[in-house]
Amino acid sequence: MEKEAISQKQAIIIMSTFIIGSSAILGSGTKAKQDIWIATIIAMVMASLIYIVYGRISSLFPGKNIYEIMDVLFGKVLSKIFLLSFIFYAFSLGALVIRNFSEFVRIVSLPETPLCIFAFSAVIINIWAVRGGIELLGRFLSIFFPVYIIMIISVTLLSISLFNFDNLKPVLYDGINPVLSASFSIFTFPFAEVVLFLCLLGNLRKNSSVYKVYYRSLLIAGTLLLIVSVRSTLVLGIPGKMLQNFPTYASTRIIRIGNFLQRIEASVAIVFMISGFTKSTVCLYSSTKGLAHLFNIKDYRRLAMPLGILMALYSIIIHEDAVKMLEWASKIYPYYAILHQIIIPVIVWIVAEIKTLISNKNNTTKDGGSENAAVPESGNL
Amino acid sequence: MITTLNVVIIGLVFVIIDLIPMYQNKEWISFFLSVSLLIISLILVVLIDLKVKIPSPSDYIEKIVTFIFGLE
Repeated sequence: MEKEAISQKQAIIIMSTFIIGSSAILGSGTKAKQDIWIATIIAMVMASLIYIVYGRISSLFPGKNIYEIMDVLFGKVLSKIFLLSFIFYAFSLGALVIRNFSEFVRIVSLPETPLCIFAFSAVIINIWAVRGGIELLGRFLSIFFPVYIIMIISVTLLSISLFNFDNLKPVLYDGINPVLSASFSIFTFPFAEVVLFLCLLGNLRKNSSVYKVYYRSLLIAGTLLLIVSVRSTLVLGIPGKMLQNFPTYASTRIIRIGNFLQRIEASVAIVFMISGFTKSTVCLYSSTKGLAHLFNIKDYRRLAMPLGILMALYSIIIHEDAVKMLEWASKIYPYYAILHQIIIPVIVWIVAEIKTLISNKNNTTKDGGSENAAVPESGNL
Repeated sequence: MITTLNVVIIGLVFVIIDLIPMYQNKEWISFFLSVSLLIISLILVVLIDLKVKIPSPSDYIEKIVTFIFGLE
């Protein structure tokens, strides 16, 4: 099987769309209320710190994905435990995203349709994308991402007449604690979810910098999320925002320019679906690749369909209803995600640094410090 | 019923596109892994359609997280 390769630009686009993902629809960090903008900025700073770890892991082992790196670092038994945990995280995150979007479509437009129809419609496209390879996703998003940005900016410009800047006041009325708590929520959902890209950035073309991919994506997606969350706060106000399950959709719904431009929420929803599709595709890709690695299967694409079906079914049984789903996403998920987003990557990073240091020392001793001493396998820093 | 129908249709497509070539190429690991995943899916979908309450891992995750972090 030929090795897939994506360009730096494509990786940035995929990662940005992934970060915006379902949080553009669901909204995250509602605890911060009118201080959502402060919470988002703090979350971006926190994310920039953890991205150093992710970037360093990828640059220490260029061309390798996290599963291969774990094999190198932890040996057979321990790596399998980490691997299984990581696969389950990718799989469950994919199921959660599919469920989020299924509930979104069901609540806003098709309340009588069974949930499985949405789940399977989504999963069929995901399977198709995974079978096409990550290059396919990159090419697809290269076309759609500009549309995405134009849509977000134009909707924001159209809703300027509805802005009430008093909705952002008073600043820090409830103190800093709710803001910090909300920024932690925003950090885990969506910023640190890019940990899944450790499986994907092994496919980055040569001469690309993983750090550039992480930080440019953070800047693009963070800014867009900031725009979206501040816009919905300005338009709906805090009481109105708290009442809505999908605040972004609700704030778009009330846009009315004269008698000719109204009810544009459907087109916005379709654009947001693209980010959901990207996120669930990356999750399915990561879990499929992990499973193929676990069983030593060369062509991971073969597993996309059975795992995709299972993911759709898991998305149906994962929560009883939409209320439980939203509650889980806001209260439990941030703590559950710590293990995969912070603890495992930090362990991998520390062990990788130690091993690289030891192997460098060994190489230097062998070569007697000659000019031919092996250079650590590192990418662009 | 409709969920089962979905799985059966996608499963059939999968058998034609992937499973038969896997068998012909003697890719046994992929073959048996895919068959087992498909069987698990079929069992799950029948249980879902029979309205059997399947314990979700998210409930257990919730219990563990609540216990460790002392959440209310």
